[in-house]
Amino acid sequence: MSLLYDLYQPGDSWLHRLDPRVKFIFVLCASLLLLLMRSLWVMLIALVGAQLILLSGGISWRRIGWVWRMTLPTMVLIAVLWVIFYPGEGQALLSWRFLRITPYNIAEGLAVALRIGALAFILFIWLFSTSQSALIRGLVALGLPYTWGLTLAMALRYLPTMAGIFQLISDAQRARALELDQGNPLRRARAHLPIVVAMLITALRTAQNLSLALASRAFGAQRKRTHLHPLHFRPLDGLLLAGILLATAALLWARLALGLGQEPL
Amino acid sequence: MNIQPCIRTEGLIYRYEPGYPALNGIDLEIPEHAYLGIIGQNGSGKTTLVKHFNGLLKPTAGEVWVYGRATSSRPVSELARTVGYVFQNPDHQIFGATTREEISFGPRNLGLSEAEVEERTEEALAAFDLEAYAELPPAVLGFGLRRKVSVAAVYAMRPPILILDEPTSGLDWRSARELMALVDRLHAQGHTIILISHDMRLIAQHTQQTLVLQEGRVLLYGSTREVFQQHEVLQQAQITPPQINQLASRLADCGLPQDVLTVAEFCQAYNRLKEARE
Repeated sequence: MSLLYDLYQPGDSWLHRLDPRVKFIFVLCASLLLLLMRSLWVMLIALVGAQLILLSGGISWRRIGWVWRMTLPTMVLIAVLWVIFYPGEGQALLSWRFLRITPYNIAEGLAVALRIGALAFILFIWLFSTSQSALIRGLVALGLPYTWGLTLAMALRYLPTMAGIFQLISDAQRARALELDQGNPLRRARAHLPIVVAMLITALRTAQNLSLALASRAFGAQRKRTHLHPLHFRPLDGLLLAGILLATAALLWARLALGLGQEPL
Repeated sequence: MNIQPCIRTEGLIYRYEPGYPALNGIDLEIPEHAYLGIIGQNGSGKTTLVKHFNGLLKPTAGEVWVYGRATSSRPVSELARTVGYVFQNPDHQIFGATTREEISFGPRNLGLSEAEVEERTEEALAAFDLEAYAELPPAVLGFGLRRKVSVAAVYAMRPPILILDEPTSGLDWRSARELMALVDRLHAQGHTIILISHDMRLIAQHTQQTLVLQEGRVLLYGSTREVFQQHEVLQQAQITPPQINQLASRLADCGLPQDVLTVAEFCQAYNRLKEARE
């Protein structure tokens, strides 16, 4: 099958051994910084950095390629639409009616697009290297109620499954002569309606069956849960966490006080 | 009489991703009006093969022809007029607010007039005994009825070739029997039927030809009767013939024929043997 059916890639790399709480805090800090900054160079560094972390953590090219395939169309769309609809400052490279293309708005569009990619890759650093059970344990240890943690983990776990079902439903409707790529954009959007409705019905049915399966396996019978593999916070985890927090504080100060990464170029 | 193939494949290879092919050189001719069963272990390439017949998948190498025309350059929407495909899970296609709307979806996509769409929908509702559920949302019907709706929705498009992927999985004996009686009727009306199943009794009882796939290759292809006599070859694909066929084979010394496929055939052969001895 062409789709990944489990986000987690088993392994024993430094990334896998890292405490899930540290990875989660890294995702939060990196996302906050990326949302506050607008620099094209910062986004580029974040994107390249995320790739390096994934590769050094033994995450396969196949998985990295899958994230690219998922995000690249959105990134290209955002970059193009930004350039068209947000007139830039400075000397225009091209000016025609409402269209005004400048180096500034090209850089801004690219920065926004790269930010989407960087955010996705940073999230997948956590998801690819953390098993579902470790993910829940990490979130629960940070204070999240267990049921919420499990709900979140299952929602993430079901993303690729739902993508696979979406493909199956699309095939089933295309087999009934549904044309998805004909006509104007409005017609194409309407053509997706049978897929979206069937998808919703399947998702609701899956959710109901899953809840019944959980209930029938005594989910919620014990208020206080114990864990078979409790988390161990190693000195190295503490060191990395301190590094992440210090770097985030320094970059936040540089952004807010010195204006670092405030402009696209 | 020389029966023309409605589907032909030559050197068909398909890879989902670079690596080992899911189909590895399939050469096949399916005659018109055939009632073909496709069997094989999970992952042997059954669904991958039939998805080539309606163009959902295009060959990595080799070619597939439907009524003499290559599928590689034809869109699925065009092939859907000729090849109907009922998916394994009815929930993967059901979306209509009513059963009537669900069944009319396919004919409407074919660009037929409203009168023709209505005529085909009513005919499909009647043929599958679904009139009582015509105004109900199909999503709330029981699994057996949802399965019927999914077959009726493809039947209403009147494709000469009909593919059914595991049509009886999840159905009780009665629902399965009712559904297969409808499929038999469609074959009698002249449709070419291609049936994927893991139920050997079903394949033996209904199909005339059987194709056995193993690791993306054709292991056996011939009349169902001949195929189920090849016990040792079938064993390679971890397939066991229907029990009644095995019983007849073990009683071959007593004079029972080895090509028995159903209980009815076994009883007939036994009675003939008894009469001959008397």
